[in-house]
Amino acid sequence: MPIRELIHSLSRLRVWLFLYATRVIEFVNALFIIGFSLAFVSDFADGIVNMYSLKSYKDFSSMGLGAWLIFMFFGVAQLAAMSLLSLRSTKASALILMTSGAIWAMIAGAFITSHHGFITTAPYVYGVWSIATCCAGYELISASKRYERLSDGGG
Amino acid sequence: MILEIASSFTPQVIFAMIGGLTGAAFGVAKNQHNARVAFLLLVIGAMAASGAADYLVNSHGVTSVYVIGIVSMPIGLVSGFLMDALEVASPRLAAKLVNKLGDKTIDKIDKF
Repeated sequence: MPIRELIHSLSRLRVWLFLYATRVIEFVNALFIIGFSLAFVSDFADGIVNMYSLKSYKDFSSMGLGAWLIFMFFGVAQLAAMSLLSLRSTKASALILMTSGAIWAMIAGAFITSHHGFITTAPYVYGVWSIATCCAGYELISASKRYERLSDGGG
Repeated sequence: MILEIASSFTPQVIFAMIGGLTGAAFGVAKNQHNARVAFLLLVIGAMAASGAADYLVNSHGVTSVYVIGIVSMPIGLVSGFLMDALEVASPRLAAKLVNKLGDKTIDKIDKF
């Protein structure tokens, strides 16, 4: 299959998958971010950080409390942006989706190292979720740009 | 100094740059920016992806160039939409920046 045709087929698959499901992905992503970072933040609040002593999470030990609080902020911002119904908030939500997709990809990368490759489920779960959030964010921002163009053109 | 810079271009960083550029290209293609803004966004995408690769190699010990290349793509993608992020944060500032960079490009083309 020529590369041009492959890209076109993949684009059609992305549109088919994510044209209507972006709201669900925004909501689930916000809950995932808040839940994931809350586990670390509550561990820091105890005073004794136990999670970093676990084998799966030892590679995250370079991440301080501030980093997890910033990540949690993304989740709260995602919830706020998706609950507002304006073009600006939709764009903001799409950008947060794509940014969190990049962070999930880095987390998947970190799990690949701590698990010595793809021998556990973590890299697949976080990797697939990263692809889903990136595609949904891309579709959402594309849709808002189409809407913006139609509105500007008086259509 | 030059040798030090050249030695920082490890295979991981090069794959990250390729991944970052690919991701940023998807973002840039979605927008109708002028050439200067598009080039700037591509460079930012490559730089951000290289930074992330550097972090993954040094802090997490990720050495696989393919993993780094794939992880870099969403980072580049976000960089491709940086002008949209600026537009969301401050529409007036974004319009000012685009007009300024556009005017400079037009001036250069006129002189040429």
